[in-house]
Amino acid sequence: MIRLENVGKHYHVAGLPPKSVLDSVSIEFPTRHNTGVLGLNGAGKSTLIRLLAGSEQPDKGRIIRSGMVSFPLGFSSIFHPDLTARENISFVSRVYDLNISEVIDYVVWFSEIGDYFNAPVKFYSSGMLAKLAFGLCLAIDFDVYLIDEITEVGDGVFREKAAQVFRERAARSDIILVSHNIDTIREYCDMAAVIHDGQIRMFDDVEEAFAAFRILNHRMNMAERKLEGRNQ
Amino acid sequence: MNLYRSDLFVHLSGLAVSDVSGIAEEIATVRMYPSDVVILRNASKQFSDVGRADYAHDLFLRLDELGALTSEDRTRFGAVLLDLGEARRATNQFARLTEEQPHNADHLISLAVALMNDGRSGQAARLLLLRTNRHLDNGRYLYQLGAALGNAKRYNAANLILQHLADIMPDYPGVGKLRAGLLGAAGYHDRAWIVASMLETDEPEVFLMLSAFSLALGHPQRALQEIEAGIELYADEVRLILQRAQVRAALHQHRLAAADIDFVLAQNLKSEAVERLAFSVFTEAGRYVEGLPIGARLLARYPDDTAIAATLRVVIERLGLSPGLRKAQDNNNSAFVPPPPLVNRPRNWEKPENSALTQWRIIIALLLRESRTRFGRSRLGYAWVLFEPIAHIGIMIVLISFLSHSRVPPIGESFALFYFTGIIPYHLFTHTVSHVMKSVPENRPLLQLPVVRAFDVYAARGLLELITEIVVACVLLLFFAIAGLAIIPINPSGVAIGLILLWFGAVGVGMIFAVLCAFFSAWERIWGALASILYFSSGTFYIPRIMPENIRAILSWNPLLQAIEFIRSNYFYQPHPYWLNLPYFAGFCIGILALGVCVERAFRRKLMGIE
Repeated sequence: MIRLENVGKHYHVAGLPPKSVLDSVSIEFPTRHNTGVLGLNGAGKSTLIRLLAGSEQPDKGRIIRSGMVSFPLGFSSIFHPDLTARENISFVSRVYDLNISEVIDYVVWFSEIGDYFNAPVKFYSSGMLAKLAFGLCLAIDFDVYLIDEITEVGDGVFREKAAQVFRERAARSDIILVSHNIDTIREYCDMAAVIHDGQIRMFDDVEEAFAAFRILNHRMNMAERKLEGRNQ
Repeated sequence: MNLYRSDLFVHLSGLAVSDVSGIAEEIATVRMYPSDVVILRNASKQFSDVGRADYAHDLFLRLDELGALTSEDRTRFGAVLLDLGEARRATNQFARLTEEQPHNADHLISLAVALMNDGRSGQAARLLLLRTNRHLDNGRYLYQLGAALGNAKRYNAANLILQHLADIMPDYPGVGKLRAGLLGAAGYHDRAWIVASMLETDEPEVFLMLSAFSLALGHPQRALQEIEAGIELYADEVRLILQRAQVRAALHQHRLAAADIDFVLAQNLKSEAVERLAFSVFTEAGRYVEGLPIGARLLARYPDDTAIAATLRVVIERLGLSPGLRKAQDNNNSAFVPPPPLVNRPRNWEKPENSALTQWRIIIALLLRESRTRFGRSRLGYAWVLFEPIAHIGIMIVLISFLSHSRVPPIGESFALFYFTGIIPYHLFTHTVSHVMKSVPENRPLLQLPVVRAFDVYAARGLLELITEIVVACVLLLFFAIAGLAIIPINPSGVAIGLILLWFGAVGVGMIFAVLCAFFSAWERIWGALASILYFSSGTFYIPRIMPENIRAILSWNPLLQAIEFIRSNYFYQPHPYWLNLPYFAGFCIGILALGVCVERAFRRKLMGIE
């Protein structure tokens, strides 16, 4: 369970008015539910994930977590490019106080990157990196997994395996998943949150969230069209 | 087949089907040409237009047998089936239509309506929700979606959809009514009442809603007035009477309420809600004999409902019957299934935020990681760390032997040891500053790990530099010892204190410079120049004793010079350097460390590249 109490988060970018990503949001991501997160580009999905993880601190309010929450799994890699996968994984295992060999065994099994495991991470393809990061995250038995846009990687066999592991984990732990792919959210999540304009709205049914999200998209498109019309 | 004749009939029947003789003629025609698709189609169209769903139904079936149902026919067929109350079969027809044209809004809406008529509102809502993205401009679509969501008790989403509809099409009929109903159902009775009171129609539903919301808001008197107003307009509307019964029951007018219920039951309106109300009203009004069978039926259907069971027990007691009823049991069998055994939980999975032990563990992990990256991937990296001070010392020795004829160092007995005492503190300071300064940008990915904090990274890097410099010093001292030099300082603890103080200062300066770097990217180069100046102004290869008094007075503000003097005065026998100011040196180092921690805290967001 992760609960936001009156959480506010603002960004200041030089030359732009301050942007409020979250504006006094109180919401709960409940235990035993997998939640999808939807939002337009720049609405603050990734920020939300980092806040939930604790990689960033909110400007106000507080975030209460029960259970062990994962690091955010997404585009930004936690791996050091000059270190091998083994060394990188050893580091994360030490940080989380895990048995290093157990974690390595799991990631070796999951990622299927073979000999590259002992090569510096900078030589990896983006697909291999994603496999490695995904495997490391799943190797650790978190209570809540925070996933920011898992891209489909690997061939069909690997994908099937990843999906199977992910399903198993989705059934046992909680998952908070940001994705543009509605089908992904539909497959793994039973709830969904829509983040827009500093507010988060939680829906008990993902289809409702999709409808709300489509309305947002639609409105934005209409506004853009209007703007274009005015410009012409 | 006589095409000419059949066309003629099509034409004729189109003219005359609206009256009875026309219908008869149509039937006759169809009988004459039972396999003529055109005639069948035309006739079925006519029948469905004039409301003879029963005839139309048979004709559509025949067309279906012939395999000649076009999508238009199917639409009509579905509508006819709905008219006939055959919602399930209508669903099948519309489902086939949507299969053929999955994005046709009309088909989708028809299918949803059929599903709702069939009692499958959830499915209807889901069907429409799945395809909303194409039809967000379509008022009918949105209206039906809202209605379906509302029927499926998804009030939140329904309200959202209808609000959107009201925004894009303010005049769309029926939205207000639907919204009022949804708001009421969702429990927002006050807002629902306001929406309902602003409706400009006189339909019975409006009175029904107003009264129901008033009742829910705790205004039974107002509810009664509202429902009476409705009944004045629609005297025989069963739903209004039922509502009045409910209001009267709330007002404890049980006899009147029971009279209303009598009317409702006489109209053959039967639902669970009616039965529940009837049961409680009859019980309250003392009409136990009528209440008993209703209550018994309800309990048979809902054996778990304790409220019904309790009321029924009261009724039975009043009637003097024996309570031979099965007690309503609470079979709450939500057995908690424990998760499978955990594989990879850590040995002690503690709360990571507030444990010094955890932080220490993380700093060690970082230190180990840094030790792999600090020196690059190759062994040469380690060699360079040793080579750098050796090269400095070697070059200085060679230079001095050329430039000066002196064979005695300024203090101590060997040039090597003298330069060593200058170069090790200098490197400790500059390396620590450089690496601490760059630690956050170089480790930004790592800080994604929520348990790792910026301070841990500084500490780990600083510690690594301290350890490295100590190891380098020990190795060099070992060389010197092998070469036969007297390496033991006169006051080893003083040397250690000097190095530690200097290291504190270096970490503090590094943290401050990290912030400066975040603001001015050029700072890294400025620091490079600064480091060179420090090399010459800190007495690494000379002693301040040889300087003119006035210059020394300025240079003794240099904390690195102070550090090197302090370390040397604890390493070698020499006259006390009176420009050495230990309180200033110690104060500077500890003060700058404190300042560094404060500055880091104040500008953390800037540092993390968030702003």
